[in-house]
Amino acid sequence: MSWNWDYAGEILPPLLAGLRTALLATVAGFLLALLLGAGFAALGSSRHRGVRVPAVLLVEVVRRTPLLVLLFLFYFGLPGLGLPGLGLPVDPLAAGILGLGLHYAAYTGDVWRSGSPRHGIPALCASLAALFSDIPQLVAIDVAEPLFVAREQMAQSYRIVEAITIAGLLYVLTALLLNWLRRVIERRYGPAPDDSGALDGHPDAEQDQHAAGDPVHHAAYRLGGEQPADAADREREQAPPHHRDAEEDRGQHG
Amino acid sequence: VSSVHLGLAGYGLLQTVLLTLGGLMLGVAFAVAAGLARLCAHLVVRAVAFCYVELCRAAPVLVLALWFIFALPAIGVRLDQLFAGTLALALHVSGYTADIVRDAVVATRPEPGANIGPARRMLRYTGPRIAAAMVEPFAGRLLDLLKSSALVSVAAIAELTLSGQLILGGNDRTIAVFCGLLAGYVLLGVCLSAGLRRLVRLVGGRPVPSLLDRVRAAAR
Repeated sequence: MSWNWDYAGEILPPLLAGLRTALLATVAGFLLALLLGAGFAALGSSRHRGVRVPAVLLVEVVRRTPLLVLLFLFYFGLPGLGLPGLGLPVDPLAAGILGLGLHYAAYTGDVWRSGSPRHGIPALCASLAALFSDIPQLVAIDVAEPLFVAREQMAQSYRIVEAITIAGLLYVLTALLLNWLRRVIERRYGPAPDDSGALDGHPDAEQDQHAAGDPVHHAAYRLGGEQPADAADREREQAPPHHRDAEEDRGQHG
Repeated sequence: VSSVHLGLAGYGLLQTVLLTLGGLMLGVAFAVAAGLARLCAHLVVRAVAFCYVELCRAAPVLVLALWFIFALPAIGVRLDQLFAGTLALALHVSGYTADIVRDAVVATRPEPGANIGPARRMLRYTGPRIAAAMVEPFAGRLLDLLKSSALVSVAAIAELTLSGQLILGGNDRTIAVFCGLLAGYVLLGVCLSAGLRRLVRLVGGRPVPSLLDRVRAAAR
């Protein structure tokens, strides 16, 4: 099957509309993640153990759960609970935003706790870019994002390559743009901090710092076991992360 | 819960483990190649490697998997579905781990005056040290990979999440199935991180706190 440019031009507008839905879900999901993350951070540092432990456990479990499972839970699971008002099928986009919000709240919570814009902004940018790269999964719950549009187009025309390739390219190009913006912001504020998501391989927070800034210096500092890395580690062990951030900020601004 | 359900769940669990480990091994191979290519003396090789890494990072796993499974056969290339899923995971993970490899090679400096290329340096000179420097960042990647493996269920590969959906199709106990899925992933994750923490400690790194560590710290 060869590439048909006329057909590709025909399906571009609906696919772009899908991209708009994808961006809407990204922004709404991210805002919800910020709100929920603030809640998790507050509960996780509560004075009462009975509040603190369940909050921390919830965050840790959510971090170990694939986003897709959360999406299914909100889309298929909520009506199954049989609660009043939830019996109807949930709107796919709403379920998607809920799932994204809950999943990323488990990561943005740490950013609130660190309370430092120098570390916070790059970490939030990393979360936002990671969230966007998870948007294609919404196709599984029938949100009208580009892959879903592509599936509809394929079903109508029986042409496969154009729709799925353009949908994929839309995602890749947008992600490249987001990554570039992120790098610009990281150049201004420094790379995302170690402890924001390093724990369990949050999509970006840990490894991306290698890509930012001066790679040679940075890598040697982190990995080589040379003097600076040891010193930094010792310092890190002495002060809990949020204290350290607060001190650094005071030093910078005051 | 019938034996059919248990069988499905077990099959899904096995496929999830296969996808994760397969994706990891293939991904590490790609990452070593790309990471060394990024240190190559030739500008063209470096540029190609840079583009490879950027594209692998920008392309979502699901987009890659769907493209391999649907678009490739349409242009005449047929891949086994499980392999297509593994390949998508491997490309995705290699985009991130290529820089881990590169940084580890850069961080282990050769003797002054030793003028040898990155590949030979890695193989002969500082291999074990580079491996040690890579274990810690890799550990984080592997857990991410475990979660990403759920995506291929959308492309109809019968791993854990899809098994859950199939079981779900057969009865109305939605919540029970989701609790089972959550338990499956958390259990796999806990096993995986236990092994990884041991490995990180073996090479003298600082393992990240486990789920239990975190909860225990909160209870204090």
